[in-house]
Amino acid sequence: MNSDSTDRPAALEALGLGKKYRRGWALRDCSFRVPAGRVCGMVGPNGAGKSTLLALAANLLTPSEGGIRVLGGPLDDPELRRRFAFVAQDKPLYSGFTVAEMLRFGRELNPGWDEDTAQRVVAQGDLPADARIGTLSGGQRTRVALALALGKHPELLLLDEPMSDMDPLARHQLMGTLMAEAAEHGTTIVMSSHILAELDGVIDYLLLVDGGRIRLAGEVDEILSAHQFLFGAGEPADLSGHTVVETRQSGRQLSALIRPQGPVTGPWEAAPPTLEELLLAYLRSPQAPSLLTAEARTGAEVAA
Amino acid sequence: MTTVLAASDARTAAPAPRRRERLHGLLWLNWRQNRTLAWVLLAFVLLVAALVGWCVHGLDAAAGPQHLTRACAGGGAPTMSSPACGNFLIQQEDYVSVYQSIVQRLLLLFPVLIGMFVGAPLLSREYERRTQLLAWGQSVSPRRWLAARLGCTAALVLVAGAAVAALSEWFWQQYVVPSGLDSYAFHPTTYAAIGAVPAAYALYALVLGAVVGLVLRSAVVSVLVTGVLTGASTAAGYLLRPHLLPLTRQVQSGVGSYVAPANAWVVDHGVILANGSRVSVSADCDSTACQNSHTFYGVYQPASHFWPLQLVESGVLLVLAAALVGFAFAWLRSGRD
Repeated sequence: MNSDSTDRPAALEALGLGKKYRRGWALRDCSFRVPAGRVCGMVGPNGAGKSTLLALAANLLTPSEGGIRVLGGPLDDPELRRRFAFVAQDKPLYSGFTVAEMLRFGRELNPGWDEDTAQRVVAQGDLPADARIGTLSGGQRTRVALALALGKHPELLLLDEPMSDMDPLARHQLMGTLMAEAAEHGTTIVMSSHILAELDGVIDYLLLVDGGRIRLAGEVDEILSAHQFLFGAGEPADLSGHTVVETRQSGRQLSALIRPQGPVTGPWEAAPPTLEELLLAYLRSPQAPSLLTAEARTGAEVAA
Repeated sequence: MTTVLAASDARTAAPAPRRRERLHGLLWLNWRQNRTLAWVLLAFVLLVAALVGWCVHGLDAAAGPQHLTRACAGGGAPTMSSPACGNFLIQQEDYVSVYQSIVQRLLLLFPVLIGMFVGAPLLSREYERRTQLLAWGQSVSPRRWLAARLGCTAALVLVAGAAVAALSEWFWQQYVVPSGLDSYAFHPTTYAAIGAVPAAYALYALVLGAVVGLVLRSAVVSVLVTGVLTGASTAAGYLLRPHLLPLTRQVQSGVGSYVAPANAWVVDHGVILANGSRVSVSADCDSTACQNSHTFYGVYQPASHFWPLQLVESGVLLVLAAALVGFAFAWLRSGRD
C-alpha cells in the first residue's frame, strides 16, 4: 500500500503555496501532500483558508506564491480539467434548468461522462427529472451538484463544505452515496468542513487549516496515535520532555494533550485522544507546533 | 445486481429521449441559456415585420388598382386637386409617419436595449450566481466558455439586427423615398435604422455590455452603466459620423444663402467676405460686408457618401467590438479571482 501511494502521483501536492487578497494573506507557506486514493477531510474554523485552498487546487484562483500540483500535472494542462471535479460551497447551478437538463449539461461538457452514476445519485434523492433547479431545497441542489461531479468520473473530487446546508438525515444519506461511489471508482476526495461530526468515521486523511496555515496533515490514525491525552494531578513541568499541544487546569487536575517523545512518566492517566479532542486542542492553541506525517510531507521537504 | 436495477430505474426516470438531441457541447448549453432571448428576438423581428407589413398593405390599398403612387407624386399641384390623389397623399403621409416614428425609433433603440438587457447581464449574472464556476468545473476551459457565450449570443443578435434592418431598409427604398416625403437618409433616426449600421451597432453594444458585466460583476449596475455608455456611443457616433470620410467643400455665388445639393449632410455653411474670411451661419452676420456678400461656402457629405459612411462606421464599430472581446479574454486570464 505504501509503495502504491508513492508510485502514483499525489492527488494534491502544494509547495510554499500562498494566496494574498487585497485585505491580506488568506493562505501562506502551505506545503503538504494528499496521496491518491484517500478520503481527506480539510477542517478548520471559518475563514481559515479552506475555500481558498480548494479554489487554488481547482485552478479557479492563481497562487500569489508557491504552487500546487494536481494529480501530478501542472495546473495549466488542459487535459487536467477532465480529471478532477470541484463543487463550490454554494453549489452553483443554472436555476432555470430542470434536473434532467442539468445532467445533460454534464453529459455535453464532459467527454468521460458516466450517465449511470449521475442518474443513480439523482434517483436516490427522489428528484423528479423535470423539477426546476430553482424550486429545489438546499439538500436537493447539493445532490444534483454531486451527481454532476460524480458523473464526470473524476480521479479527484474537491468538495467545499459539501453538506453544510443539509439536515442530518440527508447528510448521512448523501455521504453514504458519495463514499460508495468513491470506493467503487477509487476516487480521491478532498472535502472541507467546519462541522467535525460530518467527517468523523468517513475520512482517513486529515488537513487542519488554521489561520492560513497547515497545522496537521496526514493519515488520521497516524496523527491520533502520535498524540496522547493525559489527565492527573501533575505539573506542566513534568511534561518538559514532550511536545505539549495544550494544557488545561481544572482544580488540582491537569489535562494535557501531548506528542510523547519517549515514555511518559508521572502521575498521569493516559488515553488516546478522539479526533474531536485533538482538533479542538490544536484550534485552542495556535502556538502548538504543526505536524505533518511522512506521507503528507512534500518531496522537497523530505530532501531538506 | 443492485447496480443494474438502480441503473434501469434511473433510465425510466430520464424523460427526454436522446434522439431529439441535435445540438451538443457548448453549443447546446448556449442554445439552452439563450432560448428565451431567441424567442424575444424572434418576436421583435415579427413585430417590425408586422408594422412594415401593415404600412405596405395600407399604402397598396390606398394606391388602389390605378397605382396612384406615380400618378399623384409625379404630377405635382394639379393632381392634388383630384380627390383620389388627395386622399392617397394623406394616407401615404400617415403610413410614412408610422414608419418614421415607430419602426425607425424601434431600430434606433434596438442596440441600446441589446446592450442593456442582453449584453450587461450576459456575464454579470453568471458571476452573481457563480455559475461560471459551474461551467469551468466541467471539462471546459474558461476561454472556450467565454468564446461560446459571446459567440452564440452575438450570432443571434446579428441575425435579428440584420433582419429588422433589411425590413426597414426595404420599406425606406420601396415606399418612403418614392413618396417624396422623406429622402434624407442622413437623418440620425433614418441613418441608424437602415443599412449595415443597426446590426453592427447592436453587436458593439452587446459586447460592450458583456465587458461591463465582466468587469463590474453586478447585473443591475452593469445594466445602468451600459445604458449610459451605449447612449454616449450613439451621441459620439452622430457627432463623428460626418468626419469619417473627407468632407466636400463648395463655394458658390448667388443671392440669399448657400444652396446645398439634394440630401447632402451639410456640416457648415455661410458667407465668404471680400477679404476672403468666412462667416458661418452660426456666427453673427450683422456687418454690411457680410450682409451684402454674394459668395457662399458649404461643407457637406454628399448623398452618394451614404453607403461608404455606413460601411466605415460599421467597420469602426466592429473593430471596437473586436478590441472589447480581446480585452474580455485578457481580463478573464488575469483577473480570475
